Amino acid sequence: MKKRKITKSIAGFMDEDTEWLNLTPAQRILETTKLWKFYIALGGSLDPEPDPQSPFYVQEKSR
Amino acid sequence: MTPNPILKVLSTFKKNRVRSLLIGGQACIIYGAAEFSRDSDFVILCTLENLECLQQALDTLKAKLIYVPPLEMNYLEQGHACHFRCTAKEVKNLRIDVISKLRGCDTFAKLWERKKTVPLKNKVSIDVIGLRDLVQSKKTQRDKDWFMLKRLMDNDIILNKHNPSGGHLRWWFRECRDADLLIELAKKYPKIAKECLVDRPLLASAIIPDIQKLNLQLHDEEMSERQKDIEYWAPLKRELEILRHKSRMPPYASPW
Repeated sequence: MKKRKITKSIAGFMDEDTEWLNLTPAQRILETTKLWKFYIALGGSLDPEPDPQSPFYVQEKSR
Repeated sequence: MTPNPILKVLSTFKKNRVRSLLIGGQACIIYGAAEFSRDSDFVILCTLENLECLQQALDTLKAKLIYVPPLEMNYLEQGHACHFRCTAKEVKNLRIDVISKLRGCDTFAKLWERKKTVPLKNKVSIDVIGLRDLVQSKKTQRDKDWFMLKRLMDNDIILNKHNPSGGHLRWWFRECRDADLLIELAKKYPKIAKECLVDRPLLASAIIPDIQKLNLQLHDEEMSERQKDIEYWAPLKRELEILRHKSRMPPYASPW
């Protein structure tokens, strides 16, 4: 089944979400690679976000 | 650091013949539900041979185990996840989490059959969990996973709604979490909606339609799955506590 490109969002214009959906998976990987560069340059942490809902989350009492 | 450290991990896994499928945040990017993720999560085949391959890959990435349990078959078979942090220059501080059993999902062999392979340049490809299996894996106790599940479903419906197959429609009726979309689909495909009632009784509210009732039922359905996930992890969490005390490792703070 061939996927149709969506040309307009419900609001009637091409928004970012629609543009992202229209990319192929390989294109999305390329785009996210660009985001990595920015993220690392800005000093982004590679630790996962603390998530109290995760079954592994244990509050660090020492903090 | 390499431009995309996740790709470095993937290529290292491939070179070492690790049987694995990308899951989690990176899989959501591939399916269009996310734009960026620090996650590097994999479901892996749990055999001694594959664990040896994985260990070689981890050694190449200079990945250190950071929490309990250790990378051993018996723990993975129970459903535990193993957590690593890379120290190799190209992937410094990148986290890798591996699991071999996803609650509510099929065996790795079945997941592998249904995998999606994304070809990249230079004959490189990525093996990622199939969309339907990814959706199933997102039925957890966490808000962020249900948010992502909804996005995955909504996106698939938006992309394919012009000429879906019967099988595709049945999957949407089974998994869609948006009341408006369910009502729209039930109006357009009433026969298939009625066929799917057996598996998902709340579709009756989409057929009528009664959006208030449908939203309540969707909420209850989600709460039920969250509770199942809590119950599933309860004994595993107890075991993690015991292992933590034995190993005297620092308290764990959310792998994903």
